[in-house]
Amino acid sequence: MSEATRKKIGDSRWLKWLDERLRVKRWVVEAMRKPVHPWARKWYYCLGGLTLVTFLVLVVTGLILLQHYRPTPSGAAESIGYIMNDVWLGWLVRGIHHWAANVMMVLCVAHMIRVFLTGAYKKPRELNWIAGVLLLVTTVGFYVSGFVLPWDQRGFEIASAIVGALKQIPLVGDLLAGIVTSVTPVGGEALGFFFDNHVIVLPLVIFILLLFHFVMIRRQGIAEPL
Amino acid sequence: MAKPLSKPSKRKVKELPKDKPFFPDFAMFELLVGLILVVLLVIAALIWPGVAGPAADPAGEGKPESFIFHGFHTLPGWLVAVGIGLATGFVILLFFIPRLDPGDRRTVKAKRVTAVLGGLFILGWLGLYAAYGFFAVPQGSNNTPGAEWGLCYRCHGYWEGPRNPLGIAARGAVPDSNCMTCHLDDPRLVNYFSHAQERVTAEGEKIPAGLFPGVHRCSDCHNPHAPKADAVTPGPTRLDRMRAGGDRYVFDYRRTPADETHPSLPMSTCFRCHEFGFRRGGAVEVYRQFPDMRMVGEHPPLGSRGCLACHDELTETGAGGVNCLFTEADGDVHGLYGVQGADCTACHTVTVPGE
Repeated sequence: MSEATRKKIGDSRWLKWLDERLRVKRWVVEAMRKPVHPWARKWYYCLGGLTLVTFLVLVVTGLILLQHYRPTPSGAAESIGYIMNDVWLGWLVRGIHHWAANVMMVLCVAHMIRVFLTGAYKKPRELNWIAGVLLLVTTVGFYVSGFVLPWDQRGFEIASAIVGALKQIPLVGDLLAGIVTSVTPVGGEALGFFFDNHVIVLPLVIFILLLFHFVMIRRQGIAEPL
Repeated sequence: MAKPLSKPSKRKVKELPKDKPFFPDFAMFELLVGLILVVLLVIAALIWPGVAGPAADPAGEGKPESFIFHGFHTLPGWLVAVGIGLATGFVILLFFIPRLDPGDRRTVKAKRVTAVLGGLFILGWLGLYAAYGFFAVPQGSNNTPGAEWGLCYRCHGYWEGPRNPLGIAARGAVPDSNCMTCHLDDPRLVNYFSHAQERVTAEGEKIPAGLFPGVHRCSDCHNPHAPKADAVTPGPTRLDRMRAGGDRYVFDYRRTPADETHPSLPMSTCFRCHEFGFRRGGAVEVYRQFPDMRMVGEHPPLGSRGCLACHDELTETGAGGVNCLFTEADGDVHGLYGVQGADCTACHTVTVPGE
């Protein structure tokens, strides 16, 4: 697409209409013209964008699953069975959610390795690297808490393993384990903890981090590899 | 631009790539790759839609149970503490990478950091795999086939429904076909009806003849979670667990000696071994004892009542079947169904001797 086409889009009626109300034309045109350096036009520079795609897929499928999921010790596993067997295409939505979660973890780590190997964390991008590490930790939080939610044998084992591991931390172990569940061994309270984090706390955190991450990428551009 | 001194070569000079605007080339490429990714996710979900195991807390009592524990439970505390310390250290190290590797170029120090981090990363994953693989121990057992995490479905399946990935319609008890996938090499088990004849165990206990497909299952008597010896002959430990109600996931209600009390079991499991007297098997004996109490049709609706609400515990075993004796509360049986004073012949036929 040529410069003329870009100009055509920039002069389009719908963009003018939107610009009169939201003043967005400058952002759109600037975003379209943002230069992409030759070294960044490689497949492994798409890993970050693909991670975002899987995240969006997870948001959409997660919202659909949330309509039918019951976060109670007695109802969780049953509602998963309901989603899989009775909800129209519920099995497919849950399957996509399941796979997207796994793929997002892989892409997230792969993206981080690419950033690490190309030295993209160096000055002036240190803060963006830290945001990336926090995003990785948040993603792991999503991943682990998501496994607990069906409250089946595996979910219960993971919750037990997490609480058991937390207890091993010197001095503060019991306190941290107590935050997850006040009952030993792990009881139904743990399900509530992981559900709250999966659908409320972690989404808020990841939204703020992603916003920061993208704004920084936009401002600083893609780093030249070392 | 200065004029070149030599004659220009006829070979095409490769032009250095230049910056290109984000839109459309790069944006379209990202969009295309993103769409391919979404399509691949859908295909993956179509082939394997994801699974979940049996409920950990089906009763919702806030006391979930697990029959197989993995990883941390079997590791020494100090080892877990070291592992958690290393993992935490690894994450903290990630935050400090820009500080550890300052400057514009990649230094020798940075290369060392790369090597150490790469090593930690690989060791970490290997450690996790080892913890969940090598240290997986089924609770109270050491012989569960496929005890590794995720292989429970080989026997148990997940839920009954059209979207069961393996087509196994079993949630708790294991269908015989699943047992036979591993035990076909055992000549004693090739033929299901190897149990068709009465057998006597090493302890002198009689195992009655007559197992019926669809009624009796391998797991009725054999516990696949138990050590091999116990899987055939249940030991006292398992009986104790049954009495305590801890063996919820494996129905192991092999007929017990007369002096043993019956374990607490869901009502549905009674029907697996104890047919109603008026249906078949023990019916003849029941009719003989109570000729004028013959029932018409099916058993009255049970509602939420269990068998033991009306019938005595198992008191007798033998080739003739099990007598389902009424308890002392049999006088209340009619009251339970609200038919006191009603026409007896609504439920019972009256046998007139000689007719």
